[in-house]
Amino acid sequence: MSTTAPATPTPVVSTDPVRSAPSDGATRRAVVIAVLVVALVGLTLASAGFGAVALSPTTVLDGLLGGAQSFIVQQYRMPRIGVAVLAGAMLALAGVFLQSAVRNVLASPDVVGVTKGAGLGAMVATVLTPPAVLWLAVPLGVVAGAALVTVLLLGIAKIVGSRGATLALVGIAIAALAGAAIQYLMVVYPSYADQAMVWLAGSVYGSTPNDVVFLAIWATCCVPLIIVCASRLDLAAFDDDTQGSLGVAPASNRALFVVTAVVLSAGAVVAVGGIGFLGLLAPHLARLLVGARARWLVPAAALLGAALLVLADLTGRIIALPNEIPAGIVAAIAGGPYLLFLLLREARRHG
Amino acid sequence: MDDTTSAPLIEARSLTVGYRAGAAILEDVDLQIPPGKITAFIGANGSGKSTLLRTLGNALEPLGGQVLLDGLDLRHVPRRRIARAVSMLPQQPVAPEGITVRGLSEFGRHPHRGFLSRQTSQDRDIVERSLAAAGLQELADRPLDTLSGGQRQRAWISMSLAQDTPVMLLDEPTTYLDIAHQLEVLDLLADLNTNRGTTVVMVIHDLNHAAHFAHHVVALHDGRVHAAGSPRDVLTEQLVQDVFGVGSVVLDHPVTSAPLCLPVPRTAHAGAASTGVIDTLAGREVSTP
Repeated sequence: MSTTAPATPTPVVSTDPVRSAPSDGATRRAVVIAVLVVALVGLTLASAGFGAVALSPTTVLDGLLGGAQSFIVQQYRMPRIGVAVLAGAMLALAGVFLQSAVRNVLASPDVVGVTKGAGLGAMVATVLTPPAVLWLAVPLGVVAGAALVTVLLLGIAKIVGSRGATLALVGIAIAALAGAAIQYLMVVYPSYADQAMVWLAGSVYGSTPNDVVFLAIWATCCVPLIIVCASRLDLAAFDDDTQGSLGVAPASNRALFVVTAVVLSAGAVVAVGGIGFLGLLAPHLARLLVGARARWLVPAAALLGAALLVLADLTGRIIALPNEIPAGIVAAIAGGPYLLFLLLREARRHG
Repeated sequence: MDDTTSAPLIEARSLTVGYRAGAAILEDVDLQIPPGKITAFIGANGSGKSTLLRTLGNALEPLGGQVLLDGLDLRHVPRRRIARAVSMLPQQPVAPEGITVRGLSEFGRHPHRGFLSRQTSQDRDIVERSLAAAGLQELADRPLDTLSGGQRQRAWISMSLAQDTPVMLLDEPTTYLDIAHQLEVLDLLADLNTNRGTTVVMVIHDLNHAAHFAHHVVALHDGRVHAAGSPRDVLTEQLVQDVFGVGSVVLDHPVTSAPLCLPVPRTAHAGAASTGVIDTLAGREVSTP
């Protein structure tokens, strides 16, 4: 641990982030956050440069300012990067809050079916409403789908308990159902198949500047919720009685977390569809890097979520040229084994 | 913390407590917690001690009746205001992962802070004083989960201290601690009561601890308050028989002269001689069966 840290956030810290003295702990965490910011900027530039047409960093910067390659950079690559950054951060934060609300690290919106429910809502809205009102119908459908799945999930959790893998299994079952429903609609309405694929797997392909604006507005509207939730996140880690003793109402806190998680996931799904595992991966990695205190966890998780989705998109774009693999599939390939690892660890802990 | 006389009064009025409607654990409880005193709840397992304490601390809604804080129904007092008057330490509290002792203590300031406002120097002062009062200065930067049971309990109490409430409720604060640590925690509470006039209400299993540390003892049995009063009045052989179904001998503690309750196991009655010794000690005639 004494050697100088390399420029990536991955190293050494995993030993035990908690045991270090708090004075240098704050500095160390601040450094981690700074490194994540740098990594995100670096990934953004790389993502704007790589692809079917490779651009050098100077060309990218030039293109941003309206230079020779401004069309590719401004109309094609920056929108998908912008969408990836926002959606990634939103899914990660949704994961942080949902996990806190049900006290279960496996409860991320993508594992427990919230994003699939949102996708189903979007699909139903797409199929049922005339194209002219889709701009309104899809977001409404997404929110309704996400909310419905969440209510169903929490209802079942009340009966079977929300500990460990049980809740994850219930969620996976619900997600499978919602996924099957999307596929059914895909077969019945083949003209919407392309769109359905996005709701199912998640992709930032074809994002337009308008998508970025839409998502930015959605994210901005969530900021007050995020701030309130973040300010209560540490308290929510206490048992209910202690929270009560400190003047907090644990039940209404949890409800607020759930609502925030649903709204955040819904916004992300409208823009990028059902990207898997991001809400699971980003908060967990963030916890390993900076610990569980909200002051560090919330920014770290958002940055990691953004960086991971940009990375997934970038990987998908360059790994199988000239084809593109949707970011959601890349995320699933990386995230699936991670979920297995967490499930095994849960099983060992409670076995 | 200077005016001990203004400690708020907690009262229960025809209070029914329990976890589900129709499954009351205690019914029709009328109770006044004497301000500025130490009160102990005693009773068998499942007699409703914790449930009553949690209801008084607003962690549980009454199934019927009221809990009054200075005459106001708790249901109509904002949670934060309650939290500035009453703190409650549950039996097995759970803290955020990786938190340090000082970090835990700082959470005690939560009800005194506004939304998103940072820690003031006054907050910091109170936290440091709370850590000192709990004898934790040296351990302040240690993560809570590296401490021993007794140290951890003191850390939780330091959080309650930082909350700076005139009333502290504690659910079995000495469970899982060895004798030395039990006394350490109880002495700390007694000091707080003497020095700050803090009203302390605790659920406690050890009758002798109740006798020694409490001014007021409430015995719960059979879904109601069986007896309440001074340790001397409440802790009788008859009560131990009625409430716990255990025979006992109550003596005077040779040093403190508080009532000292010695349970007599049924299997040990053979030693007639020793019963005789106890009866002699207790100043009674020895009856020979």
